[in-house]
Amino acid sequence: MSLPLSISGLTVRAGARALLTIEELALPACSLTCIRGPSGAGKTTALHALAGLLSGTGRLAWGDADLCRMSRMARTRFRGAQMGMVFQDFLLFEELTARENALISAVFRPDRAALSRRADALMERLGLSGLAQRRADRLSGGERQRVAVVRALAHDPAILLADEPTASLDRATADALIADLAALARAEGRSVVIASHDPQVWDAMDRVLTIRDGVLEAG
Amino acid sequence: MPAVWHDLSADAQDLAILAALLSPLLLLGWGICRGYALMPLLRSLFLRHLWTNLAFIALVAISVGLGVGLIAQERGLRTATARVAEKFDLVIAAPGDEIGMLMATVFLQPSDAPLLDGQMWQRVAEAAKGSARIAPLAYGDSWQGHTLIGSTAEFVTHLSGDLAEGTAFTAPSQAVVGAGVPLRVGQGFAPAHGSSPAAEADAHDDMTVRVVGRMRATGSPWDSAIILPVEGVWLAHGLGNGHADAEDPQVGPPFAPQYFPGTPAILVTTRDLPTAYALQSRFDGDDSMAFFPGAVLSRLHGLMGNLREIMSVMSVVTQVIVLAAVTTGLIVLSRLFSRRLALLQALGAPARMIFALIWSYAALLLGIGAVLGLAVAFGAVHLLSAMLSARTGLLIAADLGWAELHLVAACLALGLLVALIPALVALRRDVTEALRR
Ligand SMILES: Nc1ncnc2c1ncn2[C@@H]1O[C@H](COP(=O)(O)OP(=O)(O)OP(=O)(O)O)[C@@H](O)[C@H]1O
Ligand SMILES: [Mg+2]
Repeated sequence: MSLPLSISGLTVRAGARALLTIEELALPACSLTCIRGPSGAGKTTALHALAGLLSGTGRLAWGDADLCRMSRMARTRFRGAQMGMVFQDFLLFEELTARENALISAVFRPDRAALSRRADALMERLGLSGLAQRRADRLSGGERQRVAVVRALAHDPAILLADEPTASLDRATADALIADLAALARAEGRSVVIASHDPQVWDAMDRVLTIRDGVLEAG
Repeated sequence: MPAVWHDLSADAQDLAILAALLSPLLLLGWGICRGYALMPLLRSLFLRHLWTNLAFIALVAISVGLGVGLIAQERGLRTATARVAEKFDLVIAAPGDEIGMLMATVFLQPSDAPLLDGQMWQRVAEAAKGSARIAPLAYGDSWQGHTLIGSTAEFVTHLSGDLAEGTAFTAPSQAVVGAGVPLRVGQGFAPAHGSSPAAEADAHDDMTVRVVGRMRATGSPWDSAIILPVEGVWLAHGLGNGHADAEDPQVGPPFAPQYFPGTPAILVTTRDLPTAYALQSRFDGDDSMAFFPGAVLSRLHGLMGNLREIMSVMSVVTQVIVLAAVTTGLIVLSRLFSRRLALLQALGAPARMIFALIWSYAALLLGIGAVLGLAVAFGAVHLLSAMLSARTGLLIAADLGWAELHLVAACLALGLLVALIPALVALRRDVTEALRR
């Protein structure tokens, strides 16, 4: 079950400074959205806000859940249940195998069997089956990024947030990853928000938002 | 409740104390970690800073091990010395230093002591007649570092019971050796004056003593002593044989007071305590000193007890310092791990899981350290025992007991409590900050 996003009058501050302002934004369920903008514009900040990692004032609601009115604990619970996240520099546990990394949220999720079934299926789909037992520090950049994607999707979240997922990949690998993400999202009915300054990514998305000096606008 | 407690066996009580020390924190740990499968993350944390982690474990193990080992050692030393002193009810000697006399007569530490004369011997012999047995303990000579004691055949029996080999001595030039003396029965040797290494140069060349028997092992310095008739010691020094007839081939009491050459100490063995106390008060005065080696030893142990307390406090302080160092180290290490902790939180890991991870990581290091500490203590105790035994001839059966287990459990409990600190610190870190780094 995918969730629509609706934002109005949202401000995220660091001290006195407004890091991010979003006047009005509505994204339908199952949409693929890209956030673009120059470096330092606030793309990462926006994703963190959408994930409920930063608290803001105003309204930021996934479905009925307004993150601005939830406690930190409730936001963490919501994130655990509904969201998957992919980071620019993978953040894998280098000492663990690809599969252990893909299954890392089994540490705190009770539905371990279902989780590992899904992770195995995803690894196969992303061409990682042969690498399941390889340690993360022996994987290539593209392989690591795909492991990070499996980790983000293993619990079948309704929302996927990805921060520059193609930044360190070559063109072909990047295109393949985006195609996979898009196909998976459409097949499984998931809302996807990707922060990227890669024009190829923009083309693969339903819509592109631009952020400039911390102000996010459509188009 | 107290009634129930007293009905328990000693082991059950000790076990209960152990459980009481550990269970609250284990229960707390279970509560913290419940529902999580932390193993892969713990493995990752452990491998990531493998050498630092191993160093922390070694630090904890060594500090716990040495502290516990020393305490166990001290107890072993106390029991061993008390066991040896049991054979020596009452010692009468010339007035002087009781502790020095105790060391010389019971533990055979070399010393020079003035002699008791024949009159004193006679008075003691008369007072003891019918109620106590007495034996001279004449030391001062040696053979290759083994103390020679002049005494009686009766004393040999008192010390060792049956002989392991051979017979009791019946002539001044015969000797019975301790279990650890490298002389065979039938072998002869030449005693030397004094007990210093230079003693060999001053040997009684004209005298050869033949070994006729060997005592059973007693686990005391007496195992490396050689006992011969007191007449043998006197004759070697050209002092006669202590009997009225200089040609008397007989050894042992009675001695003739006017021919008695003297002895530094007389051992009195009584059948009952009142006799012992009566003799002690009678001969503890201006002419002689009478003391109970057991009582002097308890005074020494009392002194050692103070030392033990100081040692315990020092070992606790050391352990607290090590704990503080390890905790600080763990805070730094978990900081190096903070991006991955933030990632887990971004993936929806609850705060309790982050807390559980860091706490169990710290608990694991401290726990392994404490268990290895027991092994270190075990090794330290046996090594120290062997070293002390070699040096003193005392058989020290020091071993780890419940008291040591309790101490380690208390350390561990404190460690588990302190491990909450790095866990709390890890919780307080800002997730987005950590993700940005
Ligand atoms: N906690 C904070 N306090 C103050 N300033 C912050 C904080 N977090 C981020 N910033 C600032 O906000 C701005 C936006 O940062 P952000 O990381 O969101 O940019 P970005 O668009 O993701 O850039 P890039 O493309 O380089 O990743 C930057 O100027 C950054 O320094
Ligand atoms: Mg960024």
